[in-house]
Amino acid sequence: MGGKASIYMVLGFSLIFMVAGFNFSSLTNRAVDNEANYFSETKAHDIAVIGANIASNKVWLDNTWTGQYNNVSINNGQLNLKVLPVSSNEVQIISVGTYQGSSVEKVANDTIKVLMRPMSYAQFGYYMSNFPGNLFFYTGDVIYGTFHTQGNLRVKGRPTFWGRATAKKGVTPLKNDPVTDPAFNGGFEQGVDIPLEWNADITKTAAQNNGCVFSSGSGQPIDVRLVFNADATVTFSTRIGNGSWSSDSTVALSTLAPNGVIFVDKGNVYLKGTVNGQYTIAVDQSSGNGTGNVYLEGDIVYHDPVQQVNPNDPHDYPGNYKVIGTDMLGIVCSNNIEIVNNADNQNNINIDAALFCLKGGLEIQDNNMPASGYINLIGSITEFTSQVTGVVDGSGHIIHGYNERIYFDQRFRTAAPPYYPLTGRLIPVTWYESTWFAD
Amino acid sequence: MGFSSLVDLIGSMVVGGLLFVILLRMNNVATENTFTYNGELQVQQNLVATVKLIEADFRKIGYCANPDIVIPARYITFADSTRISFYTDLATVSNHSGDGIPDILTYYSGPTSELIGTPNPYDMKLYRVENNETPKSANLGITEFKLRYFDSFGKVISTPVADPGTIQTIEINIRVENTSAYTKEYADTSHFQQYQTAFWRQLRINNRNLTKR
Repeated sequence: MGGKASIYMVLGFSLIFMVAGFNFSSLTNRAVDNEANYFSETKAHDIAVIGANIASNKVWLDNTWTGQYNNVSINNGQLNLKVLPVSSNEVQIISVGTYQGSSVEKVANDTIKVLMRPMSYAQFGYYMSNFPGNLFFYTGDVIYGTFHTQGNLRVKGRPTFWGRATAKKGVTPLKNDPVTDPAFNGGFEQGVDIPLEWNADITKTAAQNNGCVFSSGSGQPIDVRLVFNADATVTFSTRIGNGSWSSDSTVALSTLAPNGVIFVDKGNVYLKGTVNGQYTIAVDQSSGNGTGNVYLEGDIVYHDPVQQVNPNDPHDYPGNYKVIGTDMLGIVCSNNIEIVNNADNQNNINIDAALFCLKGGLEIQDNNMPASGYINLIGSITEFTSQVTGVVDGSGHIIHGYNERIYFDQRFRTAAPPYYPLTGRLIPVTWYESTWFAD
Repeated sequence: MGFSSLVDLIGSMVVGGLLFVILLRMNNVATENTFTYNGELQVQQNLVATVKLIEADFRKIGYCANPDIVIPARYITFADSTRISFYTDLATVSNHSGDGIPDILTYYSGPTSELIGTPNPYDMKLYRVENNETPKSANLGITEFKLRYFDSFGKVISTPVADPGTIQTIEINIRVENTSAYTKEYADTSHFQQYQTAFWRQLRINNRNLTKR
């Protein structure tokens, strides 16, 4: 009897210990499974990120790349990657990472989708290919929109960059008291290479097809004076070489240049007026400083109203200005855009346009012109190098030319004047990380 | 009934008593172990669930299916050490990539006084608020939710951040503890010995939507 009781007691205790032990090990296993699943999902995500980075870099370097990877082993997982066209000029990268730690674990998937879009030079609030060694941005300077230089960005104090800033050769903070601490509100990245290029043939072909080309036809330079009128017409006159100006002609822009492209083949443009519509004026074939220039003889502004943005507007930068409408102008030249020293320009000059200077920049034609207020530019500026727009005395006051107020037209983030020069790069505009989905 | 029977009776009572004490002790240990292991599992599950949600949301700071709406400098609208608000594009039933309409998502930790009903004196609610909806939270035993922000050069930005646009990377620190301890009988036992704890830190979450343009 006593022996039976002992056996029952031992068996009973053994059973209790087995149940308790099973429960404990089950709890421990579930805790480990929980961690292992998170680890697998993190690995799958990392693999997807690797793929998206590889593909976006390939597309950045070659905008025609549409390759794909199938079941590539990376980091003990697998990568599937494809690049799909989503419109005539946009592509989408879909990168799927898969990871399974062991055959008993769940398969983890993660997908990243990147939308890439062509980048025009109008997207830069300020592009300066060559950053002069004696120039720096200082406290109080505000750069609206994206900034890029192929040189070394020099800063002192706390200048404000509202868009992303990139510099191929990095940033040099100059000594300052208090310390130099630039505000890069859109981030900063060095090593980014975006050379200043313009394939004028594309613009010229567009002008020949459905726009307007001014050419002497004899190889001599041609100068064109364009006065834009608020009723969507333009008054123009021309002169060949050193000849006299022709009489003015006024035509509807929809007739003169239906696609909005006006191309001057070897010559200069003299420009002012009120723009009603979307146009690009391009001047090519610079010859020294003789041709390939645009001379601003007065304000060149939009017919549509312009207003300062609400400082709390998430769609724009505080202090910036925006255009209420669809008017858009691109001024593209192979040399300089020069502000003429005349009565119209001696009390501020207002420019609503995207400016592009392949070899020069925006400058005053006469370094001895009187102090004339401000250059109020609403648009975008791309120049080879910064030029003289004002001369200051020892205390920093303008004695010749202008102070600058350069605002970025936010519409240029996604649009540009017709046939405005492109960088040849596709850039990511959305980066979607799905987590948990393998769609 | 002789003397030997009395000895047998007393002896069996002693042995039975010992067995009973052992059983009680074993039950106590088993209960404590169950509580501890279960607590650890719960803490880890809560942490992973919280982290997954935060990672999914923070990786999409500034994302919008329509890329033309909000500008990068305005992606983060408010940033403090325990609170952040940012633009994103939340998944919808019909489109988990977002509907192209920007949403504002806010994360913040509530005060510990909200959870005085739990034994753990440090636990707090973590709130997740979509646009202007009623704040949603759950008591997951979070005892720390700390954010640190870094600029383009990796320098720490002091909080609250005056210019949220300067934020390039974010460090997220989360600590989850069991909301109750098995015993507090040992006065010299530290808080972390009483409560199961798990800590997670995301070093420098680098959101590509913040840096892509």
